[in-house]
Amino acid sequence: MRIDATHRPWLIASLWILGIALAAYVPYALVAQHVSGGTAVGLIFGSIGFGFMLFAAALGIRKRYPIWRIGRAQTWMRGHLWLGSLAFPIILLHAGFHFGGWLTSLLMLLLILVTASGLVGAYLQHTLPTRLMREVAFETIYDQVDHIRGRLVVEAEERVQGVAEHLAPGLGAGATVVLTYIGAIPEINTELEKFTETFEKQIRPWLENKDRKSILRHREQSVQLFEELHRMLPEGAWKTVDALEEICEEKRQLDRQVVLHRMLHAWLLCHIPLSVALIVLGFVHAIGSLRY
Amino acid sequence: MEIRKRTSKSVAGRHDLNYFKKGSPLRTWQGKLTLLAIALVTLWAVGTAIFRGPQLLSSGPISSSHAVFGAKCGACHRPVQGNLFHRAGFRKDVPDSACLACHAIPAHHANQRFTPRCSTCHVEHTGSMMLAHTSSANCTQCHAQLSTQDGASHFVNAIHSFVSGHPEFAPLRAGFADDQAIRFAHAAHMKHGLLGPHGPVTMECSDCHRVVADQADAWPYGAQPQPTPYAPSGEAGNAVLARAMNRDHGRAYLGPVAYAAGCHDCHTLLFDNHVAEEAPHADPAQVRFFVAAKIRTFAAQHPDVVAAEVSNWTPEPMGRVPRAPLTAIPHNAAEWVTIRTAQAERRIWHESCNLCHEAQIPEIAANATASELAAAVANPEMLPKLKPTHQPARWLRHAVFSHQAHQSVGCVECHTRATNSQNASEILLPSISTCQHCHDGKSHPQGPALATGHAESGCYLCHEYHGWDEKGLRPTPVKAESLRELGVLMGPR
Repeated sequence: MRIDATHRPWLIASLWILGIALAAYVPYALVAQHVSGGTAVGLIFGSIGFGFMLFAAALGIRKRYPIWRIGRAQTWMRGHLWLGSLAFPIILLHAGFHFGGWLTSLLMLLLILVTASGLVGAYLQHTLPTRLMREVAFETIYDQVDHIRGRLVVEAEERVQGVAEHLAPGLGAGATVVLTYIGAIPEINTELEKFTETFEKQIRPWLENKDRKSILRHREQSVQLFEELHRMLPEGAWKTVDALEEICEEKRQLDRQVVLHRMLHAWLLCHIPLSVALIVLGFVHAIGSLRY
Repeated sequence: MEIRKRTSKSVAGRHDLNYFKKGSPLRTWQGKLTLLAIALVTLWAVGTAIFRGPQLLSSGPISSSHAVFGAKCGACHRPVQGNLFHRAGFRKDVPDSACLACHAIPAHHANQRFTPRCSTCHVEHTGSMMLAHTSSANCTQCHAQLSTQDGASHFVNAIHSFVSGHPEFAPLRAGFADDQAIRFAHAAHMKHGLLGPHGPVTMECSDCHRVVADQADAWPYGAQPQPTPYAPSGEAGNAVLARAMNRDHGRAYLGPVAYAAGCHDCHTLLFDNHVAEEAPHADPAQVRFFVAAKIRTFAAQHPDVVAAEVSNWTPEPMGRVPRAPLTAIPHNAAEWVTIRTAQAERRIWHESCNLCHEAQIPEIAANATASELAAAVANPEMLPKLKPTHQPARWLRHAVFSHQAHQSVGCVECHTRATNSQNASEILLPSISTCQHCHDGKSHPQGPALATGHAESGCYLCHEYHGWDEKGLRPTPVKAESLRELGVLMGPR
């Protein structure tokens, strides 16, 4: 989600809430004998901060049931971002900037990690989609990438087969005895063998993700390879070579999409489990604090 | 061969329409890691609860004083009889009764308007090393606008902090006078090259003013060490005061300057050329008894010296303090003893006692006869009357102070008038403004946390809320029985 001018009301509201919280905290800290989460003001800060956390966590439930008519997804996302961020300073005020005991220290550590990972995620969500649009013209649904890559292998095989049939019908699948006898062109056969070898040893393994160090990973080297094929093969095969080059380009872009997609979502592997742990321990802390 | 065309149809046709049934690996990992996180924190919480008890819920480390309780939260947190919320086991507070079960605490003032709960001032679970180090706000909540149950307080009633509203120290306020001081000029004794027992002496404050722990040390320039054990002047036997004076292992307060340790080596009490011993620094009657006995003893042991002086009598020499010499002449040993005794008494009263003590000394007529002198030295009425002196062990009775904590500061940095003082009755205590120069209320926690170069200014630094010293009480040791009941001590009864 891009953080643009549409976030301005949320930014202003968050600053207001933070300002009011600080305005309440400063005189309290100056006057109170002891600043802690157990005082009345501390409990209010704690309740508000935990409330913000619960609201942020509710985004996960909202996403699981997208058809529920309880506000727009964008509004939920913005609330998650801004109120979730506010939870950190509010909880700091709740704790009086102390870490306290074991549980509260762990909670504070989790809150720091969750907030930090959330901010990193917000930055990535703000920047990476633009990069994805710019760098991956062949973008597809992430979960389809493996399937599409498989289809690209099949398509490439068909193209290569077509070239062989076109240039050496005597060697192709539909060859007849006569064609084989009169049509064999030794010069082309040599190039065709080289082309087929290039496909089998370089292009196919890379398309099948078996050669992860292939030169085809790099666009410049890929262009060079296909230019050599152009020079080697007669003009009738160029369209196929161009098609193969485009298939490789699409494969390269899909690989890039996978990398960017993982960058875009990998932080959630940290953010979500830690958030859930934070909420669980937050309840333990809330109930325990009321007990003592 | 056809060129490669990308149409919506061709692109869409490549897609696996059942992909959503397979699930996303990323989401699968999210779910697995979330379950792992829940399992880990649950395991941690349950494990801590099993092995550490309710310590899991502790809001912070307990103070070093109460560390012995460990995880026995119930030692202090008691269930409160109250509403359903309380009956369900919530808000187990720390009532005063939990504290008083172990500690016998004296009240602050009998007529105070309200008594805060113990836990209000002694805040636990902050890892405190000293629970007595309480917030000044605890004190100023009353002292900023002080009133008592029986009306206005006779104390200053608008103290907001040490730097705001705190009165000047009592001995320095108008109307206070020290009328029990000796005759003494600090300025005279701080001069360079004073005549000492072994030559020129330039004294420092600490040569005479020593902390209680060092009180038995000898005066550094003395002929021979004269160790004098500590005894508060005029308050000997006052155990409460003695205990207060022994704060910081006897390094908090300066002991009184005793004659034997501070004055004797220069200001001797010699009274007769024939007697090497000095008169005791004691009551005039005891001095008289000592002097007479020593002169009598000399006469008995040296009859030839006495006989020679009777036959060749030398008039009394002029003393350091001008006075008319006695004109009586001895005719025998008894009269020699009488006249020498009278001369010795006059010498010691005028030149020794009167040097430091304000004394009313009955005059013996210079032309008194030997029999009149005999009557005079036997007459108690003819003893000098010395004005009583008293060196207060502590000038600030409602506050405590430690010289040890301030030992890095030179004496005259605070006692600025000491080197120029001409009269011991001047109170040389530093003014409160001197203290406020460093204790300026700007350091944490009384001031901004980041202020450096400022000493702390909390009330607890000088004042004891419970007033153990003032009330002559000693903090009672925690009863072993109480600890057994709490399950802290497991040994036999």
